[in-house]
Amino acid sequence: QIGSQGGPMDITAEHLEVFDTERRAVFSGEVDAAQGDANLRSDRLEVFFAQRTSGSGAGGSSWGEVDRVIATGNVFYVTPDEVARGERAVYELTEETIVMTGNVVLTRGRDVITGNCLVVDLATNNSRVNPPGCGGQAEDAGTDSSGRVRLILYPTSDGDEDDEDGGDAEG
Amino acid sequence: SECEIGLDKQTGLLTAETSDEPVYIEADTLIENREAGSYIARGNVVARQSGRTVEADELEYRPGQNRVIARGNVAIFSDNAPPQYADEVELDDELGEGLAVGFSTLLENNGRAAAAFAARRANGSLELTNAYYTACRIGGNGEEPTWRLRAARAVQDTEAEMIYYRDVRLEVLGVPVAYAPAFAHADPSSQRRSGFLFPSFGASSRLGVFYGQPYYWAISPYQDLTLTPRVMANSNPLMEIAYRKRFWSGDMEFEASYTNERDLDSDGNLFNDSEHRWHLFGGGEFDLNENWVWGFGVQLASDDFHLRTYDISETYNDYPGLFQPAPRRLMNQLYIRGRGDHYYAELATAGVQSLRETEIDDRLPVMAPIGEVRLTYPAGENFGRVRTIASTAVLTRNDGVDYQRASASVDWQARFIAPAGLVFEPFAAGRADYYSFEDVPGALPTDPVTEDSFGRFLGYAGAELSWPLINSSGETDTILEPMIQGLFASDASEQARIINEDSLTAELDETLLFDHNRATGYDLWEEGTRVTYGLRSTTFWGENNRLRGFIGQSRRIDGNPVFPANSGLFDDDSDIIVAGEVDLGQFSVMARTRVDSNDGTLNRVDVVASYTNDRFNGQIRYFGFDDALNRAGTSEEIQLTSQTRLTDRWSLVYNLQRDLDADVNRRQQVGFRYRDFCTDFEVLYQRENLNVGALGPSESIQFRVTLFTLGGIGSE
Amino acid sequence: CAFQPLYGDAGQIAAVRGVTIVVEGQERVDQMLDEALNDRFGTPGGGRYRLVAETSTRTAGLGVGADDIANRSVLRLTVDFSLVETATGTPAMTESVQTEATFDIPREPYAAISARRDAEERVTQEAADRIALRVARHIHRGGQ
Repeated sequence: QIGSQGGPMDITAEHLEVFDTERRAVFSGEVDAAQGDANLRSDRLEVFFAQRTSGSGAGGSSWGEVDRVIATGNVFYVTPDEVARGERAVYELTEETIVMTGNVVLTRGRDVITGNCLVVDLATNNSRVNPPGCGGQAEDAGTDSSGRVRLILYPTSDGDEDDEDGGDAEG
Repeated sequence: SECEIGLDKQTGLLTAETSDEPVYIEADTLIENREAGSYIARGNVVARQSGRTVEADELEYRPGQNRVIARGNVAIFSDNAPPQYADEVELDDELGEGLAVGFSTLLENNGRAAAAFAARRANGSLELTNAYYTACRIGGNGEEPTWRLRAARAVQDTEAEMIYYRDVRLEVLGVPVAYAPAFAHADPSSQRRSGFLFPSFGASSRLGVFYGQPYYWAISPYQDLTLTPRVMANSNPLMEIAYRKRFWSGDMEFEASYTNERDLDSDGNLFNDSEHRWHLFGGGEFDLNENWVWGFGVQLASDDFHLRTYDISETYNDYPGLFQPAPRRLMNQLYIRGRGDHYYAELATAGVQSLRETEIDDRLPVMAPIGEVRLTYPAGENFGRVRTIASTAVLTRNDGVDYQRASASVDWQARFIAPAGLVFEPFAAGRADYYSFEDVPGALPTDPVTEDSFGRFLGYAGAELSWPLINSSGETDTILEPMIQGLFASDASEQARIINEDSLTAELDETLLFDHNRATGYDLWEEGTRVTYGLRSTTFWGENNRLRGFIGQSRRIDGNPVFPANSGLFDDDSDIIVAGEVDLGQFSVMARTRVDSNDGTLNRVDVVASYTNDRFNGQIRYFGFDDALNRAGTSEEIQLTSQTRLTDRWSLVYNLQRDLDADVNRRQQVGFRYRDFCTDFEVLYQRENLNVGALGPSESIQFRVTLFTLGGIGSE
Repeated sequence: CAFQPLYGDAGQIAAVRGVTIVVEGQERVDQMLDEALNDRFGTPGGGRYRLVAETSTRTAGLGVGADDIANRSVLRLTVDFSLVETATGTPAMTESVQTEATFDIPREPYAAISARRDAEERVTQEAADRIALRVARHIHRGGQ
């Protein structure tokens, strides 16, 4: 699941192509995958399904659970308390992580974090920007050459936060 | 000097709402830990917030608790505070208040403080644990700083601008030298703080071991007071006070001392009964307008030996005043003085107290008033100038002659350059004196005292002709100046009725020879006709090398001698003045002599030689009079002053004053001085071979230590 | 080459005459130097050059006997001066001159004051002589 709550994933898009043998479905055009309170929007979304493990169901296809989703082009990952934007996102179900690369901008209320590569651990909802081995080097030419993480964080004062969706960071 | 002190001078933290300035962070990697509610940035982390910057290997930021923890090579830069370094620092998110581990900071006037553990309070004060403070440069190669204060705990209070220490040890070159449970000194960035200055201590044959501890009280930005109690082995304690105040139009200074003690001789033995002993020196000078000032000078002492006994300087040279008192005398004066484009005027009253035990104050005059006005203005287009001088002097004595004089004179002088470079300088002067004497003793002590008052008119006229010639070859110029002066002066009328008060001496040298009025003051008048001739040669070469020679004499054609017999101007043919000077910049020697015109003996020799280079500078001065002149007092002496730089920090000072008549060193000083970036240490041994009253020869050794920024002189 | 007059031609004479004298300071010794310099350069000023001078004096006792009383004193005068082109204000010459005058200190206090003041007059006369000579030499060499 994309959000932390799990539940059914509802994907809307303009086109859908299904490649049965590769157990791959490609949505394109204003794709919006919603799950619980999290949304993943992008120009193009490829969904890969695992091999059904327990024998073939009656007449059902041999597709099992969704095991990997790749979104490319103006990718937005939106949750109630943050919005992450990038050029490409890979959502690995097995590892429960989303890896977004390419001019990533993560905003939480007034706080803004930018970097080359964002890894969100959906189990703990912790995110890591430019972790070693990912985005440190500027694979994508587009990102700024220094490959540095930059944050602007506003110190919260108790209780006078006016805009609700500013999203107080927990803890 | 470097910037101010502390992690952060801005104390915005105390404003009611925390400033919502964002924290800007840049790093190689960022890791979020939601349970802990913290962001961890790693790799060349730079965090900035409202003018403050923290650099570190790793920085943990907890927005909820607004704490920032920086670890590894932490450096904190505030825009008006010197950089501070630490191994680990925990700050609030305004990077203001917080704790630091392995902390060090540079303070102004290059003071350095470091601590194992430092906590910063909201108002910017700093609490250091296991701290050390020094103002010395720390050699890279682990060389110990000359001195360092090591303290269990040190608090730098930015409001009081003080640094307080607990359990503090003074370490010199790493070796603990002194310990104190508590110590405090002014924060080096503060301008003037009250506090203890550095003590002066030592031992002398007269006072025994002594220790003076000055306390400096900065009463206000324009006033301060220094109290220096001094304890001595051989005498009751002495309290010294120095007070200074600055006004918008001038400033005023006083120093005083007081003790209650018996007399003390030079071996430290007490005798006679105890008395109040004190002294008061002071003075002030204030501007009336841009040309005129008025001022006063005070010098009082309870008895002749108080100052000398307690090594307090009797000279008056850093106080304002029109007149300098003669040696071993004190002078009180009140004066007004003005100088404009073409005028100078002064009016003063002065009283004298003598410290010479053979002198009775009643016989010394009160000089009230002494005045002079001088006006000069051009005489026509180029006919020289006319100068008018009015002057008066009134001396009243309790026991002795009262002397009153008023004079007015007009003198004209011009300078014409005739063809072929001849310089013709005519001059003429007229003067009127009025004298009035009272309590004039008769020839025999039994005669009644008499009075006398009268006036007189005097005048002289003459001209000086010189023909300066120059010989230039390449860079070298030699200028010869043959000079001749003829002068006719009126008779010294009423001379016998004048009691000479202001012309008791005559110093015959190159300038006096050609002076128009060669008497020192008004009470003597050189009458008759005389001609004076001389030759001066000056050679210039190289950068500013100079060789100079002079020979001259004056011959009285008619008129009676008025100068003393041993003045060199008594005979018709005066002593021949021969003077020479070589100045090569680094080395210079000057000699002046009076050669007797009859037998050619040297009546007077004055020689000064000085030498300076980057390691040594010294001067030796000799003067000697021929014994035939049987002058009073010392007539042959040699003085030497020298300073040698042994190493770039140690220097040796050696001064000597040798009385060649009595073949005795009157004063000898040997001093070692250590001076580096943060310390000034001096030890001075002085030996005096004098006997003034009961104070015979004495020896003393004195120490003076100043650790910069800890009181005493500011930084170097 | 042989000796020639220091004030040889009209130009040198004109340059030396009319030097405006400015001696900073409010003390009596400053006035003495001002008068001595004016006598050397011949008032009135307003010529091609201006001479600005500043004095500082130091005295020391000589002939100290057993009673620690110095019966003589030496007065050292240092004059820092510069010769300035009145028109452009550029200093043509900036130098310093040191002279000294010794004098006996008589026992009478007023006579001591008078002796010291006479020494001030003598030492400023000698300083003025030396300054005038250097300026004349400078002008003689074409006033570079």
